[in-house]
Amino acid sequence: MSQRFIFWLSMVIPGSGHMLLRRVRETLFGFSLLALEILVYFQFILPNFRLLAVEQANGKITIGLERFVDDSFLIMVGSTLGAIMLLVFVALHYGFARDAKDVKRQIDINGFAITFTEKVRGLSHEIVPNIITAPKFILLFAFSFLPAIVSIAVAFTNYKRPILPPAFLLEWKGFSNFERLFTNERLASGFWDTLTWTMTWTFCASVLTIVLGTVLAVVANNKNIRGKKFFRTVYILPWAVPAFLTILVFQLFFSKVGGMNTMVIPFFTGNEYDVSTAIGFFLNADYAKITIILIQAWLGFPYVFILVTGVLQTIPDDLYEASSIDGGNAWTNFFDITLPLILISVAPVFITQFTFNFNNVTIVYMLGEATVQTVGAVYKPLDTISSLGFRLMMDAKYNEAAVYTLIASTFVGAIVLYTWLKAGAFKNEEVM
Amino acid sequence: MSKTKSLNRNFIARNMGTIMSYVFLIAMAIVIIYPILITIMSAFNVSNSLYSTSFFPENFSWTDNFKQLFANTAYGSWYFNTFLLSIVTMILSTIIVVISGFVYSRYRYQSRKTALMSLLLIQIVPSGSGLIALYAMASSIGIYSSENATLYTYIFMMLIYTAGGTTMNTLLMKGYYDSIPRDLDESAKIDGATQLQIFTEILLPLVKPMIVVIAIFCFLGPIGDIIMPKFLIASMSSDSKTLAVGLMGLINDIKDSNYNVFAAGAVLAAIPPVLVFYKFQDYIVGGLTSGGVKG
Amino acid sequence: MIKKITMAVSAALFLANNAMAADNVMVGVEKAYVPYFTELAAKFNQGKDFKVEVTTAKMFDLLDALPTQKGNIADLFMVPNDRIGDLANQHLVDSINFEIKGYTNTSTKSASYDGKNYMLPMSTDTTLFLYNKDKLKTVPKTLKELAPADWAAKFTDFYFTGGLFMANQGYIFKDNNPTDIGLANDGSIKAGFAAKSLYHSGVTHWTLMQDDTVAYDIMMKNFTEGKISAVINGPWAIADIEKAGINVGAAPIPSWDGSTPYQALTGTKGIAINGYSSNKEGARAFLKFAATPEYANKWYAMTREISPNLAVHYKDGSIHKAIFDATNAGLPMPNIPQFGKVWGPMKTALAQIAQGQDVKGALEAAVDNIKMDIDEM
Repeated sequence: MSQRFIFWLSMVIPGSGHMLLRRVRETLFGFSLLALEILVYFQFILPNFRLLAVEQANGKITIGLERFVDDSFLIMVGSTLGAIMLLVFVALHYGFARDAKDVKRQIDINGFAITFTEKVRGLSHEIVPNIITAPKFILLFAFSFLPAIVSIAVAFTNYKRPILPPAFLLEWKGFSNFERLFTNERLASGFWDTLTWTMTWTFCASVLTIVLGTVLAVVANNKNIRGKKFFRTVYILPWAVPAFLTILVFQLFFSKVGGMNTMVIPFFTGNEYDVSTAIGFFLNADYAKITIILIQAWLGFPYVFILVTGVLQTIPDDLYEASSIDGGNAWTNFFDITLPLILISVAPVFITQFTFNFNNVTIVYMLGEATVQTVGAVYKPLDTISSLGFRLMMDAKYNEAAVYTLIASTFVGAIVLYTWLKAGAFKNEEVM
Repeated sequence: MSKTKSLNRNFIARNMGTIMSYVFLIAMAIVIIYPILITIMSAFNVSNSLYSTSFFPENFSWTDNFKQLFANTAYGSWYFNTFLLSIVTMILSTIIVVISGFVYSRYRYQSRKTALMSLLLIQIVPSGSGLIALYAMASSIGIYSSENATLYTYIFMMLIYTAGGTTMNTLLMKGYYDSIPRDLDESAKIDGATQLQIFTEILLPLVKPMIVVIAIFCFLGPIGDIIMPKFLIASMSSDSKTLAVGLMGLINDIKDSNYNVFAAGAVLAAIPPVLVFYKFQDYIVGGLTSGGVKG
Repeated sequence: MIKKITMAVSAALFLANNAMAADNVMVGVEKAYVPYFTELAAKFNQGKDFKVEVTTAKMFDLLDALPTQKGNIADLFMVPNDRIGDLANQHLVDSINFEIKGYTNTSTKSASYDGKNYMLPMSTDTTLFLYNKDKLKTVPKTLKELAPADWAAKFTDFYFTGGLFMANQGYIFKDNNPTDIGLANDGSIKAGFAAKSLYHSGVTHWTLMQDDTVAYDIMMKNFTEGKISAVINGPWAIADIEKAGINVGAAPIPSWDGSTPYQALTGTKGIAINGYSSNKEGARAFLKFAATPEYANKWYAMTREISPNLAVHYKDGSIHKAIFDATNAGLPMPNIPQFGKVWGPMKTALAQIAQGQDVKGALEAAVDNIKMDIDEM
C-alpha cells in the first residue's frame, strides 16, 4: 500500500484511502460526499448533459429532444452549471487524495498521524478567511461568471426570434454566426464601420475626459485661485447627477428646439433664433458623433478632476520650495514636479476610462434613439460594438448579441490583461 | 492719470495667468451649470410651447409640473423603488467590501492570491453580457411566476448590483487597509485584543473615509442603471419601475410626453445624489487619492 | 428532472407557493383600459374557482419583453393585429379557439392568421384628417390644395405616411406576397418627394418636425394653439384637442392629388392569449364572456374608442361615426410576420427623406433592408 496507491484510490473514491488508514471521520465525510456527488450526477448533471446535443432525424444537432417538453436554454444553463460542478468534484477529490496521502506519509515516517480535530484546528487560519469571503464569491459566481459562460455558449446556437424555447429547440450552429459577420455583405460592412467608430469613440472620449479633468484640476488648484471649494462643488455636479438624467436632458438640449439652438448660439452670433437655420445636432451623423464625445467628456471629467485634485493636495510644499531655491520657476515646477506626479496616478485611469467607454452602453443607446442613419449605412451612426450587443438582445436576436458581446469582452479583456501583465500586477505584492 | 493707467496695465500683465485661469474656470463652470439650470427652470415652467428662447420661465409655477408628475405617473413608486433598491444594495455591498477587504489585507492564507487574482479577472466581464442568462435563471427559480414577482425581481437585481459592485471596490478597500501600518495590529494583539476587536475598534474608524466613498459608489450604481431594469422590469406594471425606466418612458412616450413634467421628475431624482456628493466631497477627494486607483 | 430541481430550489429559496398564483388569469393592459377590464373581471369572477386580475402595463413594453418573459407577463394582453403573425410563429400567443361573430369584416380578418383566430378585436384605429372647424369650413378634396403652413402630419412615422404612399400608387406587399414590395416604385418615390417638399417648404413647423423625436409634440402644439387648421393624427388625440378648446372635426384623409384615394393604415387592437399561459382555458372563457354586444358597447362608453363590433352604434354626424367610417375605408395592416420588418427600415428612410437626403436612394435602401430582414427570418 504505497502513498501513491492511497492517493489514486482516494481520487476515485474519496474517503476510501482514509478507510484503509482507519480514519473514521474522514471516511464518513468522503463517503457522504461521494453519495452526494452520485445523487447530483444522476439527478441533475446527467439529464442535462444527455440533452445537450441530440441528433434529430433530420440530422440537426439540437439541445433537448422534444419541443415544449425540454427547454433548450435551461438545459444550456444547467449543463454549464453541471460542468462547473464536475470541476468542483474533481477539486474535492483531489483534496481528499492529498490529505490521505499526507496521513499515510505521516504514518510511514512517525508511525502515527495527527488526529482529525488537531488537523481542523491547524487549518482554521486557512478556513476562516475563505468562509468569510465565500458569500462574495458565491454572488460573483452566480451573477457574473455563470451568465457570462452561458452567453458565450449562446453565440454558437441559433437562439434568435422566432426560435424561442421551449416552443422550439435550439440548434448548435458552430462558428456560423461568427462567419456571417464577415461573409454576409451587409453585416460585414456594418461591422467594420461600427468597429472604426467604436475605436474612435473610445479613444476620443477617454482622452478628452482625462485631459479636461487634469487641466481643470491643475488650474483650479493653483495657489493664486480663490474659491477652490466653489469650483470643486460645481465640477463634481456632472458626477453627482445620475447620468441617465443628464443624457435625456442633453438629448433635448441639442435638438432643433433645445437650449443650444434657442439660447446659446443666438447669444454668441447675435442672430435671433430661427428654426430654419437651427442645427439638429443628432440628425447629422458627424455632428452626432462630435456631440456624444463632448457629452461624455462633460459626464466623465469630474472623476479625473477629483483624483488629480487629491494628488495635487498630497504634493508637499517643500518640493516646490526646494525647487525654487534651485532656481525653478512656475513652469519648471509644473513640468518637473507636478506633471510627473499627476501622470503616475492618472496612468491607470486610462485603462479604466478606456474599458468604461468601450463598454458604455447607456449613453450610446439612449442618444442613439435620436439619431438618423445616413442612406446606405447598416446601423445607427452612434452604435458601438457593445451597444449593438444590447440592441440586438432587446430585439431578441440573442445569438448575434452574444457574438458582439463576446468580441467586445475578448477585446477589452485582452487589453486589460496585457496592461496588467506589463505592469506586473500579478506578481507585485503591493498591487495584489 | 497716466500713472494709474500704466499701473493698471502692469497689474494686468503681471496677473495675466491668473486672469486667464479665472476665465477658463468660470467658463467651464457655466458649461456645467447652464444645462442643469435650464432643466431646473423648465421644471417650474408651465408654458405650453415646446421651446423657449428665454432662460427664465415664461409662466412660472412652483407646483404645477410636480402635481402633474405625481397625478399622471407612478412617480412616487418609481422614486421609492429606486432609492430603496440603491440603499439596500449600498448596505449589502459595503458590508461585503469592508469585511473582505480586511481579510485580504490582514490574513495570509494559501488561496488569498488566487482569490485576488480571480477578482481582477472577473471584473473584466462587462456587466450586461450575461443578461439573457440572468433572465433565464430568474425565471427558472420561479421569480416571475410567484405572487410577489416585483419584490423578488428587485431582490434579484439587488444581488446582481451587489455582485457587480464588489470586485473593484474590494480591491480599492484592500489598498486602503494596506496603507494602515500593520504595527498597529501587532501592538493591539500584544495588548490582548482579538482579531475581531482589532477590526472593529482599531481599523474600522481609520478606514471610515474609504467606507464612505465605497458606499457612495454603490449607492449611485443602481440609480443610474438603465440596462438591467430595462431588461428585467420594463414590462411590469407602471408602479414597479425604477426612475430611469419610468422617466425614459415619459420622454419617449408619444401620447403624454411633456418636457416640463419630465424636467420636474429629473430635478427631484437628482436631489438625493447631489446632496450626498455635496456633503461627502472631502471624503471622496481623500478616498480616491489615498486608496490609490489601480488598474 | 430539471423542473423538479428548479422547483425544489425555488421552494427552498422563497418558501412561497407559486402554484397557487398561476391559476389566476392576469390581464395586462394600458392604464386607460384598466377600469373597463376591472369591471368585466368583477362580473366574470362571480362563482369561479379562479380569478381574473387586471394590471397596468404598456403595450409595446410588454410585447418587447415577451420573448424573454414569456408566460410570466400576463395571461391576456392587448396586441395590434399586425403583430399577430409574428407572435403566433414564436408561439407567444395562442389561438382563442372560438369564432368571432358580429364584428366588422376587417377586424374579423385581422384577428386571424393561418386559419386560426388569435385575438378578440377590441378597438380599431386609423389615422384621420382632424381639422379645426372654426378655420376650415369644409374638408378639402385633396391634400395638395392645402398650403403647407396650414397643416401638419408626422410623416417620419410609417404609420402616418403609409396612406400617402398608397395615394400615389405605392404598395407594401402586393396581395400579401412578401416578395413583391412596392415601397420604392415610382408611386412611392413620388410620395417620398411629396413628403420631402413639405419638410422643405420653409414653414417653421415642418422644418422642426424633421426631428422625429419632437415632431409629434410640435404638430399637436401648433394645432391646439390654433396655428394650423388640420393635422393627420389618430383618434386618441381627440380628447386632448377638445380639452384645449378646439372645435375639432374628423374625416377620412383626403386624397393627395385626387387620382387615388388616401388609404390610411388601419389597425385593430385586440386581446390575445399568452402562448405560455398556465390557465389558457380560463383566459378563453373570459374572452368568450367579453365577446358580447353589451360589453362592446360598454367598451365604447368607457374608453371612447371605436369598437369594431357591429352592435355598437355611433351617432350620425358624430366624430366617432366619422372614425368608424374611416376605419372601414382604410387599408388593414397585414397580419403576416414579414410586415413587422417594414417599420424599422421605413422609419429610417422617412427620417432621411425629412432630412433632405436622396429620396430614391433612401427608399431603395429601405426596400433592400426589408428584403434582407425577411430573408433572415
